[in-house]
Amino acid sequence: MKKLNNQETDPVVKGLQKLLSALTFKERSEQQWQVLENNLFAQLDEIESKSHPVKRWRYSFGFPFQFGRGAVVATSITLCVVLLSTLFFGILPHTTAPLVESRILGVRGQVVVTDENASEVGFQQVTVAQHNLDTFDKGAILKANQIIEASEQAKLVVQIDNQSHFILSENSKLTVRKANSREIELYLHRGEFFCSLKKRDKSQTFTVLTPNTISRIIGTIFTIRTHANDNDKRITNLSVFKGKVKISNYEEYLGHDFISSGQSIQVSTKERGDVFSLDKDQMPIRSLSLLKLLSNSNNATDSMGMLDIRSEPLGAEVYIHGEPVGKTPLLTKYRKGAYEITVKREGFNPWSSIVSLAEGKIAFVEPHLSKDSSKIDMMPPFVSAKKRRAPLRSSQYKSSLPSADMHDFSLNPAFIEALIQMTIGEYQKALVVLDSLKVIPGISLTNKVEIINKIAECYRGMGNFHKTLGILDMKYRGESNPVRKSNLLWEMIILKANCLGDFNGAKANLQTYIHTYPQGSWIETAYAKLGEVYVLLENYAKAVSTYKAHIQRFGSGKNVENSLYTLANINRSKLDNCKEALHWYSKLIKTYPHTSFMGSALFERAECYRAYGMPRKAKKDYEQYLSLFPTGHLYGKCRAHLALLP
Amino acid sequence: MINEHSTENEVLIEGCIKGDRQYQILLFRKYKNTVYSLIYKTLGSSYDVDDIIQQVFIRIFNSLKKFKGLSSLDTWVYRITTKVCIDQLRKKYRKRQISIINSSETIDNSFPSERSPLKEQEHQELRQQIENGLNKLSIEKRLVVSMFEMEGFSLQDIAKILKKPIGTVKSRLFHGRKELAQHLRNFIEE
Repeated sequence: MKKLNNQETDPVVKGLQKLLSALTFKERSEQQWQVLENNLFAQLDEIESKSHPVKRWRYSFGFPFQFGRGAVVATSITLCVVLLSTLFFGILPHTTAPLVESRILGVRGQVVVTDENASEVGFQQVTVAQHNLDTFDKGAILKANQIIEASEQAKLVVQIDNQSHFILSENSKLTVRKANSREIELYLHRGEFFCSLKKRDKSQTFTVLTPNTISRIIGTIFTIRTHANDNDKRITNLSVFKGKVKISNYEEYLGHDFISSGQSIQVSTKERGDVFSLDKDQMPIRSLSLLKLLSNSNNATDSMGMLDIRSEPLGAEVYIHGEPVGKTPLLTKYRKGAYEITVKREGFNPWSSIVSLAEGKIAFVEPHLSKDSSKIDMMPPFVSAKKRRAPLRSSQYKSSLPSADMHDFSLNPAFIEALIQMTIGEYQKALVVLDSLKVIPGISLTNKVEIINKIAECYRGMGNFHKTLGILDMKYRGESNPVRKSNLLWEMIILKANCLGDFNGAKANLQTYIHTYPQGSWIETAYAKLGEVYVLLENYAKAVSTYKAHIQRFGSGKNVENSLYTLANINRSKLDNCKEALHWYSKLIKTYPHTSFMGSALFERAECYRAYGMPRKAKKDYEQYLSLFPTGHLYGKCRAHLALLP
Repeated sequence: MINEHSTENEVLIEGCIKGDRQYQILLFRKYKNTVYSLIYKTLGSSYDVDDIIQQVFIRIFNSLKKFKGLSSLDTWVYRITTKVCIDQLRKKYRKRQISIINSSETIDNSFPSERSPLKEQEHQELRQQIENGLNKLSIEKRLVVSMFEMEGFSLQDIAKILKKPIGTVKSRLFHGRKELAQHLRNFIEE
């Protein structure tokens, strides 16, 4: 639309044109445009909300006609119906009523809610914390013009209505642009928004905007993440776990896409992005489980709350009022009240605290367990080993799982359902789903294997270790790949030793492992564990030879320190061989000057020297212990024994 | 030239009529620069350009359902813009607030110019003179002159936008140019 006929001959006109063309006008900056755009659409919103009351009624009654000249009669009828219903039933169609069901269910870390309409001063800022959740009544959160900011490590769980919830993850900022029963519009400035939404009807809209996209949601489970990359380019990722989401990039009009269940899209500033299938690793099973549990729990009218326990490291035993309830991560429902929660893991200091659980709320319990260095010092190794009855650490169980053969099937909705059930501890339900999936005709072998793996995990979760072992054994026999075979064997070893207390079985399997896979990934640990199993079977001679073989073969292995100490202890307390014991204690102290066994090793060596008739050396060790461990549990004994020396 | 057949525009219009914010944003971003330029050059710097841009777009969104597609969307958008500009000019004329000299600098928040301060001052002065000259023209002539000479619309397009015969547009341009040249005679090199 730009060209003109510029064939002027008049010099005055030419001069004028030259003058005008030389004139430049100021350019507007992007920021100015953004401000203008925001103002414009805010004004439009205002106009829309103030005008068309009739139009809103029309929406509420679902009448599809337009208000043209010919529809006046129909309009009048609508109005009459509204008036009559008001008169007779006292009901006014508050289609844009505020969200009365919205509330905060749980919070972790620091979340700040800024309400621009809250006070006459301009805005009000409230920091949400676990202890002040009650200050946010129903309807107090998710109001128009609220800004919700979750800082680092923070997390906020919000109920939109009784079947819709969202989780705002750490480092996220969300502005509520509209929030009423008809329209919810949220603007995600940055971070991650995870939502499970009850199906909306036609007159209701749910929109999530990011700086470069608009997503329309009808009823589904999805997550949206947005961030700026190093070049300040906006990137938005949308992943859909159930249903469909319409997304479009509005920075550059590039049309829209429908993203279905199990799909994901990345939209950057000037690219529409490809739709791709979700990876299993991308499945936020934990968040999905939480949302699932939330939507289920609201159906019941009980006074339950939810405990979300996650320890660092994971896999710790959780006790509530002294009763074991499971391992972390643990998501479980409890009646409202105060609970004494203890989290324990071998090799770590136990953590304990009283947690109060409010009705319908989520309490996040996230202890960081600190390494326990004194425990080994306190107890002779055999006593502790026997008490444990499970010499193989459960953490190794997980890492031993083969992960290479897990593919595709992860996107089957039923399979996801089973995974969710497993996470929330509903193994029985998960088992039913998995059993039905296993027999689907035409299912690929890889998928079948994965389902069987999950079935094994379910049995494990239910405490039915014999069944788990049966499945593992079956897989082990049918497996031809030596790496996978060795992993399966290792898994069986751990199960037998850890969970079934079948040390003879574990011993046989360990011998097979050492013999068959001399280069296997667990070979060093296998030697150490075989030694431990022999100790538990009280076959000390075999234990000594195994430990010696271990130390000889893996001079600097990660378990050698442990083996040296155990070897010395066997000689000292079980075989009464002080000379040997002295040799191994000395080797341990010399090779590992920072060993956590130092206190016990010094004391035991001193005892050996004393028994062997070497009081001077014994005295030296006792004194060293007293100076190094003035608060050690052997301090008293040390002083007493030192006093006995000449 | 005006593109009379554009499916993209049809999609855009449909979306905006439904009140879909996404499409409204798209339409805004598509036309914002042209609308801004037209307003700024037609009205000069004494007006609150932001406010007028908002008025234009609100009018566009509110009356899009009346858009029958007889002209192109571009023409229609410019027509609304010129209408809003005319309204503004009329208001100002009525209030006899013609002087722009004092206020012209107050809203200048543009990036620092690369010109030397002396040149910049000359440029400012010239701009003020041109704005003064334009202010002296009648609204009709002023619109045609700024659209033709400064915004680069063709006579045919102006005729379409203003819904006037091309002869009328030509006549307004002729007389407008003449009056403006008279006002700026000291600056025009012959």
